Amino acid sequence: VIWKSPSGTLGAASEVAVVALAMHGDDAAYGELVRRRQSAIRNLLRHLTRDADLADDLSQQAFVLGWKSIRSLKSPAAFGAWIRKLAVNCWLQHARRRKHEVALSEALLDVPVIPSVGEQMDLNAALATLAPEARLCVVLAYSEGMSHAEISDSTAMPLGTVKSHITRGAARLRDLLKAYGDRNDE
Amino acid sequence: MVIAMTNEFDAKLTRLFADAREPLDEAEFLTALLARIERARRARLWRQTLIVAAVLTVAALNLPAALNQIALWVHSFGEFSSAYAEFAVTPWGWVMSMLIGAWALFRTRPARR
Repeated sequence: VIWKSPSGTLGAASEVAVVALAMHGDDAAYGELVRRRQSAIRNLLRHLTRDADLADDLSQQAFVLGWKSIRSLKSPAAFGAWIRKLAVNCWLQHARRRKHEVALSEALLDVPVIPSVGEQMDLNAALATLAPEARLCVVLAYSEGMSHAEISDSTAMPLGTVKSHITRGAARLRDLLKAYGDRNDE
Repeated sequence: MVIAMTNEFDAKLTRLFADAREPLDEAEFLTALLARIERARRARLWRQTLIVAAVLTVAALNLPAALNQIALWVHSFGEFSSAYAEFAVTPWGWVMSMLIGAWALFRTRPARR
């Protein structure tokens, strides 16, 4: 399996065609899919974990799971959403294993995190102050461009809960990132 | 007013997320992932080998008993068939055979057409 450089044919092929090949056990095709999607998945998990190493570890878990179960994919066109769901599930499992960390994140909700004068709150730091479920909803909505219904379907959270998480999460980010936004607008 | 602020902020937040997307170096990631997949592939191969070995072992251990059981069934069927053959040549056996044949024809529908 040569994964390190894209082969001409696979590199130019449509994603649906590459997914179909991967579903029939073509490892080179799966490698091409990983190459195309790795950046998006790793960025998504970096927003969720705020830890580059952990994000890469969880991304690899998701891609290994994808490699094992790609034959169960119902439609080649659904690959993007499917691998993203695997990545989110890997993160949720990790979060459940680290209940203390989750509890700490929830506790942070009650602590006002306001950047001091001159300090610039970055996006991931602001996201880290949200509860895991709220962080997930906000990231899927704003980073991945998913609709509320898609997020509800993908995370198995009720639609109302998703809307509430996004509204409250965005409001909290608005407070935290105000200085950042103002500075960027100047 | 509140809605306008929210929409304005939504656009800003979307832009912030877009700005935060950084192109990541793929070489190291792909190398580590490939190693993981190779490990998973080897583990799967071992698991499949163990399952096949276990199935073959269980089959080999149970083969004599299974063969005995099959021999018993064949023997019983043979005894039943010879008893039925003796009964079938009597008048009552002939009637029973005809009834069974008619019932079978009826069940398989050709008689209904």
